[in-house]
Amino acid sequence: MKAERKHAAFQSVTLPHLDRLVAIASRWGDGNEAEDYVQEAYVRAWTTFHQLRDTRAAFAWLYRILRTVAAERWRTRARRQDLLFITELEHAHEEMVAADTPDPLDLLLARLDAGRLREALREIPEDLAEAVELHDVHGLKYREIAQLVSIPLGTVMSRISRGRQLLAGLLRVQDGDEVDRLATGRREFSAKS
Amino acid sequence: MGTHPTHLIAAYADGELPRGESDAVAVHLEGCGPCRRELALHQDVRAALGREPLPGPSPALRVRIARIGRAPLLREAPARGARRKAPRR
Repeated sequence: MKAERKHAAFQSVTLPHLDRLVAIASRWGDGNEAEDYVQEAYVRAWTTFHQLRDTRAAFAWLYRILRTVAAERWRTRARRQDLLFITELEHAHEEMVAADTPDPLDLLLARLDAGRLREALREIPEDLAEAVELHDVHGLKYREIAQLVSIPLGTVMSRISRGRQLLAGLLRVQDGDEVDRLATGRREFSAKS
Repeated sequence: MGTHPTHLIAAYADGELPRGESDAVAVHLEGCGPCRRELALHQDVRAALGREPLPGPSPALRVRIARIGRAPLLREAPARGARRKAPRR
């Protein structure tokens, strides 16, 4: 009976956060992989459920477990960003701000397929992507992110700022690549005909 | 605010700056095109990310999560008519 009560309590405390945790995990892996992370996090949460003192802090507690699971799996993977690429994104962002266009991202975003911008979060450094996603996608306040990730408020501010700048730069770089690819395709087509 | 307050513009866009700093950034923005473009960039990325579709848990995951913590099922009794090992003589 005691086990039943614990199980019921675990479900009622943790299940309301399942959707959000799956959405968060989807940045670290696709489909089944993201769900594996979440399932592993729930298994660990079950074994340490007695340590959760304040059920109002359940999301933060689950998030930290999920983050640990993802970080452990990631250790075996090579991280995708290199310094040269980040510098390229910074340069692209600076060009956008310097150009005499009132809203430099407007057209780029209008051309973007649904889901592509969230995918682009995978291309920028993890600490920046995390802060941007928690704020812009999941609606957390800066103070909440600082508590969740255990960083100072000023660091949240700079991570969100830099993360969005790199995302904007990435969109510009990718759009340029796409334009180049289409132009090459057109040239090849007209050369053949 | 003489130099560009680039590092504050994201927080300004998100309404996360204290009143004094927010007012100072607002004054700077009135006369600075690059900073207005920086502001537009932050607003655009935030709005676009907020519109992105989010994946949800599959029904199978919901089932697996619901099973966590349940005592493992006892081995099921063999179906009627199933062959049993003959006792050793």
